[in-house]
Amino acid sequence: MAFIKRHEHKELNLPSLIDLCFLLIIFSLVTLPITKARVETGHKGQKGMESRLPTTRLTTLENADYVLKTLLFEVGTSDPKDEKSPRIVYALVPNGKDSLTFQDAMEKAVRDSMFAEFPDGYARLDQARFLRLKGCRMIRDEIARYKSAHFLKPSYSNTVEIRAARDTEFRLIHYIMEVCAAYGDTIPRVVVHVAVSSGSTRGL
Amino acid sequence: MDMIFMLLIFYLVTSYNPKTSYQEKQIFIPTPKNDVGRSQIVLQLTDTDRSLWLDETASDQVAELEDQFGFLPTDRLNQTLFDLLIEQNIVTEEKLHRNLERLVDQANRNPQANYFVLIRVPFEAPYYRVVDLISTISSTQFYNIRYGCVAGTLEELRLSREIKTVLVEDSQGNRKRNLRIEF
Repeated sequence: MAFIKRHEHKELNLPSLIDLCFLLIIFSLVTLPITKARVETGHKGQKGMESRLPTTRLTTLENADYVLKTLLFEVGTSDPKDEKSPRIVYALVPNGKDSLTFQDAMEKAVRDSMFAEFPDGYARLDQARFLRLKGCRMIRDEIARYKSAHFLKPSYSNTVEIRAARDTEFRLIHYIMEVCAAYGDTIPRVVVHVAVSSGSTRGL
Repeated sequence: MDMIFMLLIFYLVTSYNPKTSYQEKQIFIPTPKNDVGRSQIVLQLTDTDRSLWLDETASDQVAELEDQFGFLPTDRLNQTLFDLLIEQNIVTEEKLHRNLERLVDQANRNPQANYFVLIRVPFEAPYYRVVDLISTISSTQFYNIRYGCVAGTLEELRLSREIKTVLVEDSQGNRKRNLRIEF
């Protein structure tokens, strides 16, 4: 008895492939916005702070999941959705073991009330009134405290870091620099965190 | 079979996307010193998107005017010189960045040369403008452009005690006129 072998024609299963393509598109659309959202920084939301840092065209890259190495001042806004709302400065102090991440330091700063708000128009205040602001006192005190504990002699590696929304008025940055400068060569420079842009944009 | 293939594609897509990274870089800014300073370039940012760019050509401009109007009393001469500097050296943001890029090219072509750029910034200016400038300046190959950043306004320049040129002799015995501004 002859058996007729049926050859199964293997054809491209088009409906399945179309389903697959749709699924891939949906996955991409769903996952892409999620990956853009970063680690929440806690209190009152400095969410999306990363998108508001100034950018640089420099190509050397650094991981944003960052362990605090020195005193860092984070400058955000009281209303994260409104970049024109009053500035808030948080003082983030590392622990002695170099193991405190930025996220943990922010939570600690909120818990310990190591933050202060600068009022609207602080950049236009006269010097005497500006220096009396709670934020200025906090900056002075924290730098003094940190310097006494960690910057025992002048060194190029003694730095204070600043991480601020791009529209932050220069006066605030300048004040932090000035307080550091008061210690002469003990704190010879400040470090500013910027976001790295991939294109040739300038300060966007 | 289709399901396995789908799961594999899903895994590849989701494992790739989260690696799209946001990254930060650190920029160093020297803390200011309250001292007499010398710089090859002075940038004065203003409240608008224009800036004052002062380089060695400003010295020549001021020297020429001093020869013409040296007879004027100091305050009037100051005002005249200030007006001249503003008229001839105010640049747009675009031109400022082109000038900086030219400076960086020059620094890259001359590794032995050293430059210092002083950036004066009004209190209310957003600091990203400074970061932007510094990121250009510090992109040299040989790191031979140093920079400093201080607070300052155009009005302070206008009210400076004296704007003049002084004759300076370098180590090779060459003499030239340098612009000097006393606040």
